[in-house]
Amino acid sequence: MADNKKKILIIDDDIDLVEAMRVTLESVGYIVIDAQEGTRGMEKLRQEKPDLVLLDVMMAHLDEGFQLAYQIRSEEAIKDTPVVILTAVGNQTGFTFDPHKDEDFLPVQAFLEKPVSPRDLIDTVREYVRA
Amino acid sequence: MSQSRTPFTLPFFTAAALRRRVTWLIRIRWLAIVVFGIGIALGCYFPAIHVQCKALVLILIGLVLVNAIYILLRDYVIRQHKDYLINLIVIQMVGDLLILTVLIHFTGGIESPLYFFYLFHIITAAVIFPGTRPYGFAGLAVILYTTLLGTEWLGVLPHFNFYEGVDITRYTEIVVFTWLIFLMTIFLSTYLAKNVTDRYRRVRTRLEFTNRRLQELNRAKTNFLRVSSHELKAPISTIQSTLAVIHDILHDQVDDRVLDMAARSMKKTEEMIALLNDLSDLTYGDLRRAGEFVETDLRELVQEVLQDEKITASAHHITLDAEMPKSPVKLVCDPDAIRKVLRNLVTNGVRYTPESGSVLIRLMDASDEILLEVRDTGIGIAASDLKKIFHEFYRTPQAKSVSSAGSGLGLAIVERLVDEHGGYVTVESIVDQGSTFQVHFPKEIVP
Repeated sequence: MADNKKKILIIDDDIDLVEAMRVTLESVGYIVIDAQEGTRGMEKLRQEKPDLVLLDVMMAHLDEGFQLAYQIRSEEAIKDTPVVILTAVGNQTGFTFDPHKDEDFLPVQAFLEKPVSPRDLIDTVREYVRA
Repeated sequence: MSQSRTPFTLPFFTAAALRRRVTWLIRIRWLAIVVFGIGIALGCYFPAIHVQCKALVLILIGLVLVNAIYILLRDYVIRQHKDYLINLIVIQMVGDLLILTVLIHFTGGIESPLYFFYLFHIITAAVIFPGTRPYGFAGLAVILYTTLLGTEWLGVLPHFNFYEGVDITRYTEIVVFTWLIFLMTIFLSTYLAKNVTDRYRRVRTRLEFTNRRLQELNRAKTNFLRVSSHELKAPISTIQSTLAVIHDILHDQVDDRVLDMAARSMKKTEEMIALLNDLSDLTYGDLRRAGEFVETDLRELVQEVLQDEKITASAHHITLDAEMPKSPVKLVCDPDAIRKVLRNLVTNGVRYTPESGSVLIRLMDASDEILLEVRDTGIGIAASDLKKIFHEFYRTPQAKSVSSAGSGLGLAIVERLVDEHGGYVTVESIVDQGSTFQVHFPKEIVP
């Protein structure tokens, strides 16, 4: 039954990457919706109440993803949605995120470094949402 | 002539430069005192030379005392009023001119050959002070000498003969003539000395300027590398992800040749991503904020890297071990950087060591340095390559034949990061027997 399928929202401005992740997640039974930027992403979050958000940190602004993560946590209706951050930041600035260390600072469940392998993507999403 | 007022403050009037100058003057004065002492001994020994020995000895003693006072003053000024350092230099130089004039008086006034010594003071002033101040000192020298000659000529001060039976002060025209020559010598010398030192200052200022400009350019270059490696990484990551979806997810919908092609492409994109990561690592130190150094137990970093790399090592049937002291090995460092250093060295060791070989990490805590060693039983490095391996993008022919992976940036990054910690890397190697890389960290990090 379609209603039982869990819904994943991908917020990323790279539509090709979104497509790759969509195929991966759909292959194991998730429904995938997407948004190319933050405002649209927040709308979809409110309307469609996804079970998990995959969030790219660097879109138009350097920290748009981080801002969005805080915004999600501040809205009562959606604040419990698990958030997984997609990042290519680690190797670029030389500092790496450690989800165990940084969760006090950033209210997210996990970090995935790009390029994300299909296996890692599925494993990480499954950790928080069973299809 | 237009005088540019700009950056003469640069290397000349810093507190450190002034302190050096004050000390320099005091040292030169000790030397002068020694020479002066010898001069008195000789002058009083030869009967042909007429000097006032008692007065000269008193002046000598006075000079010793004055120089000792300068030392005390210097230490006091450095502790309490750094701004007065320049005044201290002026006081010393004016004092020297006065003492010299007194000395000339007691060695024969106009007949004394010591008036040459005014030149030393004039040149010193031109070396130390930019602007018009050297002319001020020249003027003072002229005033002092003129006063001396004048008072002796007028008979206000007694005149001591330098030469037996000759009193030049009685020949007014000779006094005036000598005085004129003196005047010209002093001002011409000031002009010439100033000309040379001003030119030197201009060159130095220009060098400083060029140097800053080069640093800016270097920063821009680094920034360009960093941005472009990041910009390139995003699309390549997407290609990699897309290929991975074909290979891992859609594999039952395509035939094996497509899978093979996807796998080959993925291998190349992986290499490219590794290269881009190395490039951004190489530029990392330049852009990192300062103050990220923390005291770290290096044993923990070694342990971490050991755990991570053990998987790869055992997949290649290579033993990877570590030897470490029992007590913590503390180093004030950037742990991310040191982790990267160790990881690069161990990855190399594993990559270039044939099956059933070994890689050993050793951490040693010596009295003056901390030593991090990675020893492998690998293919080794030819002596002629030992220097080149630290060059960006260089890979030895042997390394290339063993593995296509590797950007040739790993050791450049290692050297760079170690250098930022005030350390250095050494390497010993025998072809076909193995290599040993040693990273030396001094215990006192001088910022």
